[in-house]
Amino acid sequence: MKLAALAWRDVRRQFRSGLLLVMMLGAPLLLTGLIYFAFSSPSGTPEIATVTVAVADLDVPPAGAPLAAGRMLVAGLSRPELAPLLHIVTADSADAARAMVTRGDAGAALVIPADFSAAMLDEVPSATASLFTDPARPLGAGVARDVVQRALDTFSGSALAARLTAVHVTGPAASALAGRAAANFAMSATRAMRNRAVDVAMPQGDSPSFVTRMAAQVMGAMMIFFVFFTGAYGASSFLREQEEGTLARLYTTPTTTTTVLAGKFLGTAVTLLVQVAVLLSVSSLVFGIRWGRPLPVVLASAAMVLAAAGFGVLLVAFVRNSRQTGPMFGVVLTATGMIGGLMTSTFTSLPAGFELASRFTPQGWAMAAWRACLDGRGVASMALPLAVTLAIGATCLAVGVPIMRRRFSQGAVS
Amino acid sequence: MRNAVVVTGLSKHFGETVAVDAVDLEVREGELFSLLGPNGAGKTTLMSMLAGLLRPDAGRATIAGHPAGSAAARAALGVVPQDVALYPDLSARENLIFWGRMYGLGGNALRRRCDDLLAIVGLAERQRDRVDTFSGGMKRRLNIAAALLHAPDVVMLDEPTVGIDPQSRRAILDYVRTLSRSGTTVLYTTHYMEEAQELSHRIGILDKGRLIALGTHEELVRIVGERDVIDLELASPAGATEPHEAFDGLPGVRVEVPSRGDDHVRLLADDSTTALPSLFARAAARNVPVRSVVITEPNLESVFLQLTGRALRD
Repeated sequence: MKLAALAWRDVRRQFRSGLLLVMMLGAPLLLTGLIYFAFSSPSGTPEIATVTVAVADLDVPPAGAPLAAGRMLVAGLSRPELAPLLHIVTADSADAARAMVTRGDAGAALVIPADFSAAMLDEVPSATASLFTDPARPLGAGVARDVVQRALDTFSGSALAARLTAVHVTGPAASALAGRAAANFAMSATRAMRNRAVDVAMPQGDSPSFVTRMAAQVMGAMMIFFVFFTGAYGASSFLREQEEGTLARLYTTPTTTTTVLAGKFLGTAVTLLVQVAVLLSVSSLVFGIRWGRPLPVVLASAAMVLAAAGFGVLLVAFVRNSRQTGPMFGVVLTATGMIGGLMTSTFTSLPAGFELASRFTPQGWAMAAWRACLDGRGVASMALPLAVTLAIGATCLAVGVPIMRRRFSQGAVS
Repeated sequence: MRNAVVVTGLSKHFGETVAVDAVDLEVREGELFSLLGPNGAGKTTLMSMLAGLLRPDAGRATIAGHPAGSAAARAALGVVPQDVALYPDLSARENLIFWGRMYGLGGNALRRRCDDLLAIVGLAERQRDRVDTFSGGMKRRLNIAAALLHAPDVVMLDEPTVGIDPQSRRAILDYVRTLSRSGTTVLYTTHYMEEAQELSHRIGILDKGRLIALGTHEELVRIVGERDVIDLELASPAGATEPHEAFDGLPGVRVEVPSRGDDHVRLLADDSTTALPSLFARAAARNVPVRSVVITEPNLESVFLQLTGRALRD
């Protein structure tokens, strides 16, 4: 009963703090809402600004080739139906295209290699069209990547069909037949691309919109960021109670240090679970975010809560008084949050080192677990981030609790 | 009568500073015992050791027969800390419910106890209000109530009247007296000698960590042989003679020399009640008109001054 009383007292105190409520619930929802509504029309239909794509078409079709795949790809991307999404400008070289992105004149640069047509006709093993995007404009980069990728998929399908035709037709007419087949598929590919491109702009059926997917990434990141703040704040209640004199008073009652520590941890964990439940529910209702299957979501929540509470205990173990908590939490949690990728959750083309660095923070692993949930994956495929997040939480507690016990035990708080 | 609190050779050092120095003390069951001493005398350190918040460097103490700091001792003890130790963002009632649960209470018994105590400390009508909306006096009263929830055998109050208005102070002193009358052992620390004098069955005077005197108020006063002080204000100077000469030779009365001016005389009497008639007769006979008389009985201030050479509030 004492354990429950201690936990309930902390939960009640935390939910009575207006400032903490803003941090726990208001800030993550507001930040996500700003992103969501900034890219949505008042009617709820996503409005995405036109992205300028600088195209360097370096394709040189083989002599006698029935199609110029690079030129067709550019023509397909320049169709009027895609005009609301893409504005295609041509560049003389790959460097010139990239320079336009660097200068901010374009949101993405598409470089079609010289052997693009040859690859489509299977005359070379493969060719890679590269898309160079601006990390500072993740939304535009995402749109450009989606449209170009689908166009390339269509071209690949056309080339495969052409190759199959060539394989099945033998004799002197084979080459000419293959050429016609490729041309026909390329023409149909343009139509297919147009239809698919519309899917990007106005998603139909069960597929979440681009803006909702982006809001989910932002919400996940902000939830993790502020859950870690709440965890640290919960642990810092030891310092506040010590300064208020209530911790010493607690130890004049027949209550053990273990009960006090456990009660406080339980109170923080309950607060965090309520915070997560509210954020998941409200973001689902307001932004239409689908967080994934129930069991993975529950496990990701539990792992994150343990990690946040444990990390908070570890931080507070090294803080001298409550005045130091603000700067300490601000610096450490912002830094680890940034390294963990919480501020760049929607960026699609970050350096590989950044992804690696995120794995050194509990927030990074928690984000990986939530990404798996958002991708609709099952427990088995998210076992690693779950296990690591839990292990980090347990390790933080294993280090922090003995220090807290020494600092805040009966006989040490007077 | 058994002892509720027994302290034997209790000592505590903080570095080079001796906070409590080999204190021996016994407080009887039902007794209201005051520890009197200036700030820094070691009162709070001694209380903290009795409450189990500090480990003594030497000596031992028991509360209701249990070693200080043990679960049984803490269950038998109610501690009112010097500073208000309540949750400011919880209501008065929520605070009492919480502290009651920490003493193992619950259910209807706890709710009834809260009702009773809120009524006793005059906060029944404000019980739903958050503590941070209370005045200092109200917080002090609630601070006391939180220590009484489990009806402890021994209550320790550490300077509970510091920094509050006279009305709240009076109310707190009345609670303490009521508590004592109910049979609860009360250990009360203060640096106000009037409080110790007014409340206590016995008083211990603590200075620089040492218990320098112990006894009833009368016993303490007798220790230093202090007398009543009689201050006379004269209507006009006593003529050619020094004013104090008019009262020389009265039995049981000593004139303090030098006097405090031509129109004022201070006398020290073994017993002011018996000295006053002869004193007025002498004044009339010597034609020394008396405008006012102030009698001050010997007090703990003078005892402390006598024992330490310093005033209690130095």
